[in-house]
Amino acid sequence: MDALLEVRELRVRFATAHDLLGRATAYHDAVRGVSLSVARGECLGIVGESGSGKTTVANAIVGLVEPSSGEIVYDGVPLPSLAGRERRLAGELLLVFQDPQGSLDPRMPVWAIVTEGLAIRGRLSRKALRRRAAELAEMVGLSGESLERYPHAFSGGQRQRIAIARALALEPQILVLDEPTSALDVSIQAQVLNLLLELQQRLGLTYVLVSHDISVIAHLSHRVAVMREGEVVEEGEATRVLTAPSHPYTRALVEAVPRVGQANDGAAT
Amino acid sequence: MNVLVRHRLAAAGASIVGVLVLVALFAPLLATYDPNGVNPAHILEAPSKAHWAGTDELGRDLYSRVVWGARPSLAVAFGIVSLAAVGGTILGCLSGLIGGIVDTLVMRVVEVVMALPGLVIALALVAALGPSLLNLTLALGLLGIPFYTRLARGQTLALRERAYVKAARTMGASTPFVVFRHIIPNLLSSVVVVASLGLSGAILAGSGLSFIGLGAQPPLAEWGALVNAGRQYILDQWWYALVPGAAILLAAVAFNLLGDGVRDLIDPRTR
Ligand SMILES: Nc1ncnc2c1ncn2[C@@H]1O[C@H](COP(=O)(O)OP(=O)(O)OP(=O)(O)O)[C@@H](O)[C@H]1O
Ligand SMILES: [Mg+2]
Repeated sequence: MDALLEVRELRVRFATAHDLLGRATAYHDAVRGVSLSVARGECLGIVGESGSGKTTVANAIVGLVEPSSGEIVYDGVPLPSLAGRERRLAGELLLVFQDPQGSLDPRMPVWAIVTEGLAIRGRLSRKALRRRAAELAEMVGLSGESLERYPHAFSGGQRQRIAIARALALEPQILVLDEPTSALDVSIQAQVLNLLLELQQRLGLTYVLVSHDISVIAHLSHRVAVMREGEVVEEGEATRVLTAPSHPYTRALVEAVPRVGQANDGAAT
Repeated sequence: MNVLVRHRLAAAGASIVGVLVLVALFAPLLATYDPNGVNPAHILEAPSKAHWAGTDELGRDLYSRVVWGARPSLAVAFGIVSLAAVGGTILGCLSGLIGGIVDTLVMRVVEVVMALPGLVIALALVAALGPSLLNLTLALGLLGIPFYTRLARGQTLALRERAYVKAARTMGASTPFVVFRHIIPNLLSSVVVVASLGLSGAILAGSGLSFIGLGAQPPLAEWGALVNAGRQYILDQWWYALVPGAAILLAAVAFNLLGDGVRDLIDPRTR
């Protein structure tokens, strides 16, 4: 299997205390040697309890967190840190944030938010940006009028659609979804997950889905990695991990959920 | 406080500020006499049909002097706040973005300046530079910079961590792009709120220093200087000090109400 994305022996250490000169005096190892691989068109779910290091792995993949050691390999090439990544790879790997409130600039109209990536690249007229914004809105199921409005006028689910549209504007290969639905009402969660499923199939996207919620993971994932205290304790095909977990920690996680939905059996790999 | 009452107060503040600005702009039309026209035949007269606010010790028309006084008084207030807000915002924004030793140094200086008694330092500065309206504006404006520096730096540090800023960075945004597109627009609202409230203090501080003779010099009509001139006649010609004093108070209250209104208005949730 050739992987589109590989995480090799990733370690992330955060300084948690500093002396007067700003030197770190205490550390927390949030990620302790995580290795993952994701094939093109696949959805890898990362599940684990709060504090297990899921967000840190997600941030390291998109370059928002500097690994202490280890590598992120994209399409066979080790990725530099975000600063070095800017020109060459910007837009290939994008993150959809957990909190749709904080991930949209309250002072920008939706059309400007969703086309921000294109504005960063430049060379598109205002008119072209607006036209593209309309296409993106349609892709994620937002009405045309929404484009002139500001984020505060939208519900959580709609905001998350806006955030997804913003990521899609750059035609990324990989979307890293950090708890994409955990800030949403249960009734809205399924809608957003279905949109993600549909987009993946339509655009051939590769997902890394991070969630503490087994049923969210089950909805989209082909394969699942289970994290605990910065390590992957179990990894495998989604249906197998979620129905017949081999690690006691996974078993505890799965049993805590009343009913587990069907894993993503869509065509992949 | 009741929303409606708040809105009314803010509207009242805005209207008064508007009127004061118009008075300053159209002073030549509104004044009934030359503000510096001396008339030895009519000294220290009480308000009358001819002299609506009476006359001063040189027979100058007080109403006309107060009207003309709006110009230097408001100009000084706007000057102080603009200098403090623009200087402080740039400094705070840079300090927050650069971080490290630069940030530490800037913030130490800010803390020290803020710990000093502001008016006393302003007094010393103006005395050293020489009393004039310009020096007064510079001194008070410089002393206001740390407040805006601290505000802008705190906002910059907070905004830098917002998910939308991180999202922009993962999409390849450069630091200047992030600053101009996200940080400055989002930080400006709090600066504008503090600045409009700051106008109130600026008009008091400015006229205060002119009152003790460190700002406007005779024969320039400025509200603080007028109050000072009227001070020695407070027992017999009480209106002399009262009229410019009331103008100062009115402006200070109006700016304060306006500032509160701006704070409510600028919040995007209420827009
Ligand atoms: N910037 C940071 N500085 C210090 N410690 C951090 C930092 N970010 C995360 N941590 C710590 O690293 C650990 C892993 O955090 P992380 O956010 O990756 O967990 P998570 O699995 O995403 O949890 P959650 O489900 O709560 O989002 C936690 O103990 C957290 O306190
Ligand atoms: Mg997390």
